[in-house]
Amino acid sequence: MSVVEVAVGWVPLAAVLLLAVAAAAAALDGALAARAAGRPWTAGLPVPWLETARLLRQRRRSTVAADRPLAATGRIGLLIAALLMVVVVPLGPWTLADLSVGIVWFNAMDVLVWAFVWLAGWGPNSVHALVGGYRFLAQALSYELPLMFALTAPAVAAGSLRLGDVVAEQQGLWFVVWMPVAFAVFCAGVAAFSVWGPFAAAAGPELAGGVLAESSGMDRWLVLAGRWALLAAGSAFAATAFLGGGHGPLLPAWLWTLVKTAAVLALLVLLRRRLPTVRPERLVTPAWLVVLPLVLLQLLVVSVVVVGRG
Amino acid sequence: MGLTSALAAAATRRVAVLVVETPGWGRARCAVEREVRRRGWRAALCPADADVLAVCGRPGERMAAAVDLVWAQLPGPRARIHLLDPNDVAPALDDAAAELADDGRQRADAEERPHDPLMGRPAVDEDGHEDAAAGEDDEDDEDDEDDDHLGGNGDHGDMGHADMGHGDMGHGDMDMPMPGGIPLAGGGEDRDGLALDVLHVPLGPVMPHWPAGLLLHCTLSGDVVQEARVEVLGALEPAPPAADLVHGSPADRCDRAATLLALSGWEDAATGAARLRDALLTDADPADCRPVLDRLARRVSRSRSLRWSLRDLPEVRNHVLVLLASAAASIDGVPAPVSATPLTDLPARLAGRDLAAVRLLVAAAGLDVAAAARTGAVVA
Amino acid sequence: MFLAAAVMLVLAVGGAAVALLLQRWTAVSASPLPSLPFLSGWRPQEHALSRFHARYYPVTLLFLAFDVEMLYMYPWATVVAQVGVSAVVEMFVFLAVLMAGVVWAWREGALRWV
Repeated sequence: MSVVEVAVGWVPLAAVLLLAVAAAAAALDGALAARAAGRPWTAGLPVPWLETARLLRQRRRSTVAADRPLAATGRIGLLIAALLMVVVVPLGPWTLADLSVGIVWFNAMDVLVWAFVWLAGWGPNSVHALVGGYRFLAQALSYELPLMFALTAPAVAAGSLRLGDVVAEQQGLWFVVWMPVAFAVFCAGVAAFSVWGPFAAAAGPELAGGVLAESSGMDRWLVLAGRWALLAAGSAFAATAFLGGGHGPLLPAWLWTLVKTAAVLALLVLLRRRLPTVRPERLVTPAWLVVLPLVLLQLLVVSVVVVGRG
Repeated sequence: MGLTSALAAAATRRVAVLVVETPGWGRARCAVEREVRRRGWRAALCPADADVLAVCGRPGERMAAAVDLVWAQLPGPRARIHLLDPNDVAPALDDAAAELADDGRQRADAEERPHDPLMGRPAVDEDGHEDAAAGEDDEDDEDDEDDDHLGGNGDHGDMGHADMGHGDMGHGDMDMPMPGGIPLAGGGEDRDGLALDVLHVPLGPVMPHWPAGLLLHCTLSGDVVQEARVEVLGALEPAPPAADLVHGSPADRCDRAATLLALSGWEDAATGAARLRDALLTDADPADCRPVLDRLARRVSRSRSLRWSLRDLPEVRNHVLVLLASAAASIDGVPAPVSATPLTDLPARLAGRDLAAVRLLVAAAGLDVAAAARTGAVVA
Repeated sequence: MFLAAAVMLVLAVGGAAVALLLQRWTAVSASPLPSLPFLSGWRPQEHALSRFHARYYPVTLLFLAFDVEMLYMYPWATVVAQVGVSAVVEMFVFLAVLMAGVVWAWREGALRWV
């Protein structure tokens, strides 16, 4: 299967699709939370809509002597980064931009998140937000390198940084089969750059909401939606780079991409319920001394296989 | 108007409630949390996140001032409720929801709010140097802590001051720029010998997952607490004994475990512990709770990720396990004491730890702040 | 090729701006609420924006070394198959040297900040 670029007119549809997938993940999370609280799980499904309605009505805040442009940049940035990520992710046979550096593009967008989260923490001139922002940087120092090397593995196997080539190379055998470590590390990295689940230390209850501590109304919605959108975009990328993208029997290719994205996303949402927050200072040693060497080893295996194949 | 009312109806189906507990009024707080969970609402972590401010009990003068400032920080739509009796919680929340849904009223409230932020007061100390910055509003702070328990004279006059230059009156260096009437952070040596800035950050009394009435004056370098000092802010009048959780009762133990699990970011386990607490507070037969409690305790003790995440704070994980085990033991009628840190020992335990660790360590210290508030002991 | 990305950027920024404008109609007040930062109910004694002690600065240096390495990694990934064994050997010897640096930094305590 070859991936073809579609007209730019489809860009809005891609954006809507990403937001829809993100909302579905938030709804699933709401359902699981409702069940844990002893209520019917269906009662939790509308949570993303109700929160949206609540935040639409809620007034925004501006804290004293805040750095407003920086705060605003940080708050809208997460959603922008997520939307820019999906530009290179093919939906079945179609993609918006089959960049020759698609993987680097995705990587660049996830690195932007560093700046955005820190800015969202720095901007409001509030201790809790500030500490949250710096805590995110500490976490980023741990997850980013394993994530980058995990991203390199599909590139080496396909001999290309183009996602179309990565998908084409997975005809017959998905990369997850022979690079499971890279896949697992990548999924953890997705949760980490989404400031979400076990990697939400920058916005946790122990910091009174951290980077979210001062934002309300649409400001808050943009950050929350940005986090879910990042998670959805990362899952879509994982489905493409490791789970064969549109490859699969019976169903049309575009549906396969969606099904695989939904599967990764659902797995992350389900897993999160069982895990506490990882404190960034606990993350750093295993990330550098265990996960990083493991990913490098995975990359070595992939390289050797590629060279051996000739 | 159709859209506005539809939005209001949807928004008030999931209300975020910021709960403030006055020492001695734990039952009211538990009742709010229970009702919030039952309705599919949620707890707020900070005023920016909250629609409803639920004050449990009658806070003393200084605590009331802190509550008033937080109330001024709720973005709106907002509603404030005041609770003493656990049985009043459901109707009070109904009223709050109706108030939130009343668009005209909320718009009028937003219209009436001042254009300058309410400045509140500093978390004043007894030792004086911070009082200087407080200008005229320190008259109650120069007296001793008894004021808090007598309730002062209910004079919150200084709360109305929104003048921005308010803080610079007593401050020495007038050369320093003071945006918004607040001085810039000053330098201080940190443990690495770097001349970086030091922040003075009060923790409590208005803070979710924080012991009621506890006020911790922290000196922060980066996110590390260099120094901490403890104070207790009391209630306006002593709460009736029945208004609080019985210290050391199974429900109290589950409540503390829920706090710790919530702070460690394990939402589902925290919800489980809170549900157990509420069942123990309401159900006739606590023995029915035993199997659920055992399951929760097993789940927590088996969690490898919790053990790993808290390895550098082993006392926190231990405390959760001990709390759950002792809750089970006391249901069976076996007294099972849990070690408690005296308030005076708290600062030494916290120095050198980061803000997030401090939150966990305070929750794991087994403090009995309500007792300290009752006896009027304010620990310096 | 980057046109789609540019269009998406415009759409995203425009969408966020529209959302913020939309809120002027839907929120109970169009103007933001001026507020002090949340400090448990107290006035801040100083501004939070300050020279922050990021305790993990040794890790940032370590990170920088690896991050620069990524610049080589991406072009390398596209040519491994063509160049063959020598590409793999050279890159992984280089990575091993960097990992030795990590192990050294760990033994020096750079990865512990409590």
